[in-house]
Amino acid sequence: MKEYFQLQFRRQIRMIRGFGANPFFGILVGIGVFIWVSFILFKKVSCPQYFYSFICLVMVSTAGEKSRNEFLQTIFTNGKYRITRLLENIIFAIPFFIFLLYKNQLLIGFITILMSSFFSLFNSGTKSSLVIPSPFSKKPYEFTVGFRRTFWLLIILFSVSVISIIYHNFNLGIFCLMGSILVSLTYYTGQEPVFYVWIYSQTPKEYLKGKIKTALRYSFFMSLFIAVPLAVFNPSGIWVILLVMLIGQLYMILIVAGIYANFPVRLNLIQNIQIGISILFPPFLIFSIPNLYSQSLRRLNTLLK
Amino acid sequence: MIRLTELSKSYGDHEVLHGISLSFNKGEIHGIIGENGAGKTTLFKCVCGLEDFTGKVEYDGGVLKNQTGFLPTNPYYLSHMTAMEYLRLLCNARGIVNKNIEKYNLFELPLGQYAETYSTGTQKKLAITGLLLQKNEVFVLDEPFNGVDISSNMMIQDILQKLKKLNKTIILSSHIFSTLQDSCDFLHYLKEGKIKYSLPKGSFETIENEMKNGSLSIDMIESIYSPDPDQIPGNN
Repeated sequence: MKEYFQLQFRRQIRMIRGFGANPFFGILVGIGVFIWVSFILFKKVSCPQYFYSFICLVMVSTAGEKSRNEFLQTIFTNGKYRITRLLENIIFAIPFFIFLLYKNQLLIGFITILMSSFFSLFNSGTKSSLVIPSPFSKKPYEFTVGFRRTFWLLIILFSVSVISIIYHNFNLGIFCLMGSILVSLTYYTGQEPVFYVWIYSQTPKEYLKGKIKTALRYSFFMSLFIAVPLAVFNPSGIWVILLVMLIGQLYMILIVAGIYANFPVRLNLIQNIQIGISILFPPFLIFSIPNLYSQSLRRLNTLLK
Repeated sequence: MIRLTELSKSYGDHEVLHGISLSFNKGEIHGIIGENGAGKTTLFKCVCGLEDFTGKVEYDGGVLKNQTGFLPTNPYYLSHMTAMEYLRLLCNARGIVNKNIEKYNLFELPLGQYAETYSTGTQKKLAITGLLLQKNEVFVLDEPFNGVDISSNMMIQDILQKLKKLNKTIILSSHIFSTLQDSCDFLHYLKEGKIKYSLPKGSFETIENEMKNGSLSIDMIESIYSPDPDQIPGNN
């Protein structure tokens, strides 16, 4: 078991190296970003301790991925497997726990650790055969697949936006609109396998333009369900709605153009920082979109001719 | 015709393919045979343009990549995507509008189900259906018979013969020598990244004999089970 954790540590070091960073520097940056994001969350979100705990549990649940756990079960005895899962989940939750302690949220901290431990009993990502109808199935795949993964989240966002209209809480409605854009953005956070790019008989330019067009059209369509009712019941806030949608569309271009910037390898540290700055400081999009777009064209050039 | 000239491929210092020169004509079925790790999959990826390489791959029918259907050893399916959507994606990617995909469901697959929930053999059959719907001119099939049931195996062989009659070029690999013997017009024996033999139908025995010469270190198995305490798992 000790060897397993040492191996996991070595894997993380290799991943940091894969990002093009020095491992020591990478760990320091990782810790720094974690603390910075934690502070921002506690500053900007209402009831941050619950949200923070929720984020922790979402991250912990990734350790329960089915195929990974099937592998662990084949190499460990049942007892050692359970202990390994438990330790992994606790290790995941400890940074969140420490920050919650720092923020005097002792009870939530302990509940988070307890829930994380409890999560070690379950596996996620079990293949379901239940086919959820998707409005985007005519043109697979990001939105088709993404919609099926997140439809429950969209239902929640839409319901909350209805509540925001009923209770005249425009800010909550805008939050839901931003949420729907964020959901669309998550459809493009992972790179597809090389095969799914290679199959296209298009030039890199045609391919990227097609991807961006689909992303813009479908994300716009998805946000309309929240934006239209919100605009109808808050006509004075229409400019805010339009501005949020415009920035959302620019973010879509950024993500789709950027995702291939180091293809088929994951984005490197500098590209990630570029995207991060653009999201926090939207005027930077003027520089980052064309830059990442041209990098993506270059990377796709070897696959698409 | 597809012509490979001095095709080589290295991963860092490790050269996987060394100066491969071959040609594949229309209406021919070519089999690539070799041990695990001989470089078959790498060769296929180079032909398809999925890997960069040194040397030349020439095709006299336009852009090879856009007319090639590649069947990977283990076709990868995205989660939450139905088989029908997978086929539609393949058609869309080549600009083919096919409104009757159900009509061409050769293997009678449940197209409304998620493709990733299919069994290994069924996933392979789905991938083959997709390649056919793309109306490819060239088929590069990495172990197309692997994991499929006997009747589908025979059906795939029939499909290959039909494609041959339609003047398509087929390059495939398999570890089942008898299947290759039945299906292929030419067999190329790849050993340590080099083509050792390229033989036409009727003279495949040379390759068969060569492959039988492989030796297995049986003694190694005995030593694994020996009472040597250093080798008992979990004893450290």
